[in-house]
Amino acid sequence: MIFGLEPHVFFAFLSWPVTYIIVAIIMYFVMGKNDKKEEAWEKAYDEWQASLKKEGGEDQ
Amino acid sequence: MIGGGITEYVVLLIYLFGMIGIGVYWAKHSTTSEDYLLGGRKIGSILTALTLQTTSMSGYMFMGGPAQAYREGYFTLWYAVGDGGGAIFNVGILGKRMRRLSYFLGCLSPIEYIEKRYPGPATRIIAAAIAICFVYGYVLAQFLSAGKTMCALLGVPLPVAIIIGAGVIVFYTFAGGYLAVAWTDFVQGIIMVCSMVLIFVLAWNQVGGLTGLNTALTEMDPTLTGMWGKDNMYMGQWGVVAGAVGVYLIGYMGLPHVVIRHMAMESPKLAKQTVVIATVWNQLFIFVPYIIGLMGILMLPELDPAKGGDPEMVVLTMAYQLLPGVLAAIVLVAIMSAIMSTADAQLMLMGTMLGRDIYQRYVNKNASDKQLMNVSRICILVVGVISVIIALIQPPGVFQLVVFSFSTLGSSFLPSYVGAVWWKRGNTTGCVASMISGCIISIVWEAAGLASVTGMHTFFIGIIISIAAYIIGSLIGKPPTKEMQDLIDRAACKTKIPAGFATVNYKDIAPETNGVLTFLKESNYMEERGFQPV
Amino acid sequence: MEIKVIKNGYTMEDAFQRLYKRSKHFTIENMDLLFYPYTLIEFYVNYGDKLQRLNGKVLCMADMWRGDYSIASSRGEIVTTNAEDNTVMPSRINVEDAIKNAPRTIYGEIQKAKKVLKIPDIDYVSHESIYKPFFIVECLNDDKEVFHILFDTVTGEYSLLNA
Repeated sequence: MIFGLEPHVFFAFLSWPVTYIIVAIIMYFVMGKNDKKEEAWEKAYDEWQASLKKEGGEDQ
Repeated sequence: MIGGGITEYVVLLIYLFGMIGIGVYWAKHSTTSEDYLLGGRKIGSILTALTLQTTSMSGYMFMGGPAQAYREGYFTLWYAVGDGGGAIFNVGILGKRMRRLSYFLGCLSPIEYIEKRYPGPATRIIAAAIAICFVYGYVLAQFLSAGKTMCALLGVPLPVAIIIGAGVIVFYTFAGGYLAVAWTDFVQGIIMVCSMVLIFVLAWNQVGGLTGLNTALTEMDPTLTGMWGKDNMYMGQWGVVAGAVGVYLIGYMGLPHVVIRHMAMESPKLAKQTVVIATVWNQLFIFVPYIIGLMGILMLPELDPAKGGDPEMVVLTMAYQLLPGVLAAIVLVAIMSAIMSTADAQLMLMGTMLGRDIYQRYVNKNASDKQLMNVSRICILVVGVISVIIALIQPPGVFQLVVFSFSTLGSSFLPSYVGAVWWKRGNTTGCVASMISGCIISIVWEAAGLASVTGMHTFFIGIIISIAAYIIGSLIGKPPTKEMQDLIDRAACKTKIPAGFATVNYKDIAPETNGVLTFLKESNYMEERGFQPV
Repeated sequence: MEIKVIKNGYTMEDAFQRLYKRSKHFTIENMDLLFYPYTLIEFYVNYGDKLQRLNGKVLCMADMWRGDYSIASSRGEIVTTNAEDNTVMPSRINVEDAIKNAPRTIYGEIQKAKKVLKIPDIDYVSHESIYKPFFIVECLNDDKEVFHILFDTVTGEYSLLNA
């Protein structure tokens, strides 16, 4: 018995809040890591766009 | 009638005036239509999380949810299992990408977003028609439930209750726009979760914690703590379980008034905080009411329908038993908050759609920012007044209206919203096919009463057909333009960036470049000089 | 081998700086010279006595790998240098053909510039074989993918090779 419930009932219903919070925290870090990658990408993208407008080069 | 004393009236009045105050404050601070319609896209993570979740959760969580747990036991928690993870799916799947793409496309409304992502006259007309009809159904349902709640709790006559409840919502939405909605949602969210947790903690002590609760329930009736509901009434019905979990896990991604929250986020980077805050809030606000319902079985046996009681009053009765007068009155306010936070979002969306998607598109294409804001405001007022009149003259059933609107909106829009940012091939044909089939199937399924005959939830069948139509339509139809595909890549941060200058070539040396290239391919130059092959 | 080349305005160091100024998202792994063959042909354009003021010398630059012709504004500074054999691109056009074909190609250019209807005589005067130094630059992008750039050492212009 877990908290007065059969183990399978406990896991079916009450393990979710903790699971979801753990998943959300993992997502926080994964998304944070992606944010850094995306930030670098955005910077590179902006630089690229700016470079298209200078030095007289032209898009192929 | 449970309340109805002077304390309840005073607390409710303070609350209602507080909401009006927020509306007035933000009326002065919304200067552009983007401010008014999307809060200037400057909504932070806590505000996004709470407005997202309070919008999704209506008064059901204070009354219907606990009552169901009271009647059916642990089985009801399957709904919580789906709902609890909803934010993870919603923000994780749509959050960042939708925020970016809607910004690149310059959209202020979730219908405009569909229209720009899937361009074509059919998209615009169908999306606006479905959204306006069914979001309107939602608004009406929330107004009715606000009135009914006030009527039941305070003994105010229903027409007066509807006019007061709806009037306040219409006023602050009309005046303050999106920021007023977001900030009232925030305050309402805090009130909702605090009162729920407070009751939970006090009741927890009374029943001897989770172990005490479960042991006592098992002794009373072992099926209450079993997998399949009281008297095993749902024995082996995995389809119902899958429906209950699945519908709420993904359903919110199809609701325009919910997904507009992603578009208003200050920055895509806030999505990660939003996931955590919304998920934690969800666990507190979604599982707790059902468990309070279970506690009610032990603490409030007199509410058993068999004895003529009303289990919908579990939370309130408990509040009056466990809390001092003022705090119990605040719980009343919390219920109103839950209803109002859902209603205001839908009302706001109605204003946005009518102003942006109808007025600016068909009536006055060159509408100025100020005109657009004013038209949206007037539309909110008109929709509010019409809703109040319908609610007073011929009120439809609240529950049916909500379920019907939820299923139809979800089935019609979910594939298009998800596909918009995750599938570059997703196109206008797919979008139109999925909206039409999702909407028609939902209406037919509901009208013919097929849900009870087949045991399949309307949303469940609607979404399957709608997804299939989206995929087939997209594969048959013309792929989106290269520009659109580039934008989708950009929203996903997947655009391949050449090494800075790589696509920037000087025209003057183009002939030599070609000459050198053929030479390098024909000769051993690269190999002999230690280069990689060209 | 000893060859005549157009004097370069950009050294390897200059090329490094110029390319890195454009973007930080790559690294230069290798750079080497390549000499591109041209023939500088001098013609005398003769409109006859009546339009004497238009008569004069015209310089034509013949691309000896591709057979393209263009008018050159001046001879520029030409220096003699020693180049390793395999860095010098061979000519695919022979000089006689270039001298024969160039007037036809440059005729329209002269007409456009002078805006005169009379067809001039274009007489060959002299020619000299010259080379233009380019850098072949090997780079790696952020994803460690290799790409090559052709860098013109005279003008500082550059272009992606394997685009």
